[in-house]
Amino acid sequence: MKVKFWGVRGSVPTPWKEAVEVGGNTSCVQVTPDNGQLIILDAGTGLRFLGEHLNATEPNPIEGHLLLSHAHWDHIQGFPFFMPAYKPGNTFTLYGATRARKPLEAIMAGQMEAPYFPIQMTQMAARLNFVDLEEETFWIQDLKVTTCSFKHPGGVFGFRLEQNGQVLVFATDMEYSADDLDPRLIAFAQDADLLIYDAQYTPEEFEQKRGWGHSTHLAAARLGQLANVKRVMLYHHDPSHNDQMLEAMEQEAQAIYGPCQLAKEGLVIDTRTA
Amino acid sequence: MKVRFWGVRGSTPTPWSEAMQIGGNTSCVQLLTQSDALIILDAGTGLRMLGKALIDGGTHRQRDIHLLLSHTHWDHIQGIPFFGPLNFHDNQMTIYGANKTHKSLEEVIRQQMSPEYFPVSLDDLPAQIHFQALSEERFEVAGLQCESAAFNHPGGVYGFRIQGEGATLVYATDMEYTPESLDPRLIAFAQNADLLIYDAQYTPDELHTKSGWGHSTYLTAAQLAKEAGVKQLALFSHDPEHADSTLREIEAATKKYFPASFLACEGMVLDI
Ligand SMILES: [Zn+2]
Ligand SMILES: [Zn+2]
Ligand SMILES: [Zn+2]
Repeated sequence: MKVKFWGVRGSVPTPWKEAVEVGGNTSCVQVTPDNGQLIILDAGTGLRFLGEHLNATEPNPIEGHLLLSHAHWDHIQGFPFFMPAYKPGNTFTLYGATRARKPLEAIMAGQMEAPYFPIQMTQMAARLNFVDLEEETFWIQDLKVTTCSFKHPGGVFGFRLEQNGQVLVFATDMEYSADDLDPRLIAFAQDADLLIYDAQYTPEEFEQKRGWGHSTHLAAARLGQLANVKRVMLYHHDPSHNDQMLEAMEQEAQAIYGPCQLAKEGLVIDTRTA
Repeated sequence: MKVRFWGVRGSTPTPWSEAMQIGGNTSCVQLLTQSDALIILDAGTGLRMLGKALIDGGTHRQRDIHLLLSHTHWDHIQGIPFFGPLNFHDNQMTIYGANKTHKSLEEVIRQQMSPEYFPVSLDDLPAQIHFQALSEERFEVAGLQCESAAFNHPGGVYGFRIQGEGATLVYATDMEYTPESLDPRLIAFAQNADLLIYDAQYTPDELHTKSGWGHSTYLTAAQLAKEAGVKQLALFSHDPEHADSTLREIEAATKKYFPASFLACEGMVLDI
């Protein structure tokens, strides 16, 4: 599987000179399995740039699958600006959960209702399918997808993607510290080739922001180590952390577990060489 | 009266290395007057940076905050949940904007922070937040004379004309007019302003494909500035697809029609 990071920031897009190196767009990762399918994890503002790229490079029609960890703004706010969804002939299937008793389709349509947005979701000319997920395992062709719920306000899914012996685990927006990691999470990430994990806070910030639903870079490193992961990507960076601070956090994580690395906008990684 | 631009981008925040000079945060303008009150126009992501500056400077407590919303599209309200001073109980903020037919201003702002979309609710914020519904009217904010008027934008938008300390500012973003179809009400509204901040999101080519989306071109901005006899024109609500270099070309093209015009840039402070 090939992985490309289009958005690595958490909470809110961060257009900031001091954060250009790591990137300011919110959560969005493109996964290209061996059969070339278009799989997208989360729809933060990074999705707008992925859409521009697809429009420029992909012959129509485009068929894609969007897996949404949850529906907090930083994970869906790119969707109204995803131009391929406005093109007739394209098909996108969105996978997510009913949250706060609202089905996924209603949540996504709600983002584009008046008085919040000038264009309605029904004006998107591509065919849109919505799949409400539970904790389950399903297949997108020969890609096996397993979902599991973790600790985050309103709930969040982790995704475990498996194909041809390669394993990618996407686990963002979850609150665990390095010494209270959920055994279910360790099992979920077990032996992954690549783990993308929420590393938003420093331990001091974690203490101040208990209940906000995020982990530390140290928890990411510790999880990688306990789950025997080949490579850990530190993800969902805090909007107040500049490039310099994030590099320092990367080094601290590496001191715990060597194969840790900052997820940066534009970075491409093949799980086989991870 | 001084003006500080905290966010100048339209539609969606634009973290993009080629747009860092002009800035990628969405709409937010602060008015600096002799009053201690904080006066803010629109609450895009620029509002987060304003909050951060207050906290870094230690001037974030016991503040009387007035936030005027042109309308409630995301790029004009998405900074509210990230405005640091709302985490302090001794601050109070009044939000001015239109009630909608099916939803009050308060419901609109509250729903942005409902649990499916955001981890913290409006009620969790310790600051006192009040809502002031606006129609087309004259009102006073912290010693300034304000006037609101509705213009052409999907779902509606208010322009604000603000007078005080011997200066007149007109803030008119998110409105769709062409140089030929300028609303005479808008020309009258902007008449003789010392500074006009106007929506210049599109090039004429872009307006062809995006007519109905609710934005103007830089040519409309220039024509309006000329017809209304304003002193200075700030081009505002830059399109997320326009890099710094494109915007500099737009600025140069605008100056040919109206020399006293310039791009609103993040961080810019202007004495009007
Ligand atoms: Zn998030
Ligand atoms: Zn979240
Ligand atoms: Zn608007």
